[in-house]
Amino acid sequence: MQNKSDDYELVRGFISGDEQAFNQLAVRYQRRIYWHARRMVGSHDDADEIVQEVLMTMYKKLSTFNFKSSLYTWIYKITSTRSINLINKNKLKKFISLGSAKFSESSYSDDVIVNFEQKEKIDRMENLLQKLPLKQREIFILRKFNDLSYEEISEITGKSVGALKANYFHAFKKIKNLMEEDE
Amino acid sequence: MNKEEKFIKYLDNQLSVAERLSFEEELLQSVDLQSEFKKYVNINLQISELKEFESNQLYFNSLLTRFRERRKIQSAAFDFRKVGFAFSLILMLVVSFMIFNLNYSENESMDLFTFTESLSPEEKIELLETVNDETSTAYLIRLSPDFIKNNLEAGLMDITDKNQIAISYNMDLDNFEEIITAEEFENIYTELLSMTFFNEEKL
Repeated sequence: MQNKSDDYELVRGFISGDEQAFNQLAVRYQRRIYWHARRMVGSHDDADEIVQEVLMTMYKKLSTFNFKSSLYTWIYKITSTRSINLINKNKLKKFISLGSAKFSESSYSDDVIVNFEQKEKIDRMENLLQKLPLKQREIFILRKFNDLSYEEISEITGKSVGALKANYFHAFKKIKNLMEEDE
Repeated sequence: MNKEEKFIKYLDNQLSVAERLSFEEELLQSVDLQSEFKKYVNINLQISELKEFESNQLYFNSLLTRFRERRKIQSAAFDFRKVGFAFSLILMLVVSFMIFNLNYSENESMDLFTFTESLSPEEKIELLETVNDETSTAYLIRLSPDFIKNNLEAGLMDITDKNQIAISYNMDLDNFEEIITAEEFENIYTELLSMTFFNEEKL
């Protein structure tokens, strides 16, 4: 993970009016934001929208950052919240339109992944992740893909470490079962 | 701790050194356990592989530029919203002022009513005699029906001059005397009397 003090320096720079500092932070975190969002929502278009929203939130709210937590946990928290909001919004849209509307459940239309073989693997994993309950998915992604500690995940999700471990265990087991079904 | 929990904790480095060694020992002795454990190891490997892959750099390079453009648009929209907000505020103030004025007028009417109510009977009669425009009459008819009836009766009883009845019917006195009999005169008088105060009573 990124050096905390380095991040803090950039945040302070941005707060005191240095736009370049924000650009550096955006470049530093945009990939992580994108992939966390994409694994959460399972679609390139939605993930792309979330990245823009998260950058906007960062731009507007960085001045309120308290320097007590790491910047990346703060950013993951925003990304997770935005992703969950979007998932719920899409569910509601789907419910209102009684399933007639089209919602992208796979990342078919994007070209972020260059290698075709990798794209297939990513699609497969994303489809599996989408089958996990939302909270389990969030914890599994944060732990397994983003390599965050339970303490950091607890900071992001507001859940106790014990509850996180239980959720992670169930998520892992479910992924294993889904993979077996898939083969 | 069941075997699945052990697998996951082992891969997640959540076992103590003793637990780890014990699990590895167990694993060496059971082929079934190894086969089951392999499934979890495979998941781990796939995830590790998916964490490091070649992605389109152009897309990520475009993110910040698009963000800047979006921010510009949002900022312009925000300015427009600010103007809209100011306009709404002014509109609200104008509407509030109008509503206040309307209420104030009603209060004024009520005050006039209270004022007429507060007058002595003599003052009310004087007012009744002097005020004859429609708006003011509307306030006056809020006086008690008995009061109006008594005063009108008293007023009409005093009408002895035929000229006054002729004026009420908007006629010249000469024409009036020519075309009217004593009986008709009596009828008109009665009609005028009933029309005047029964209408007032209805109101």
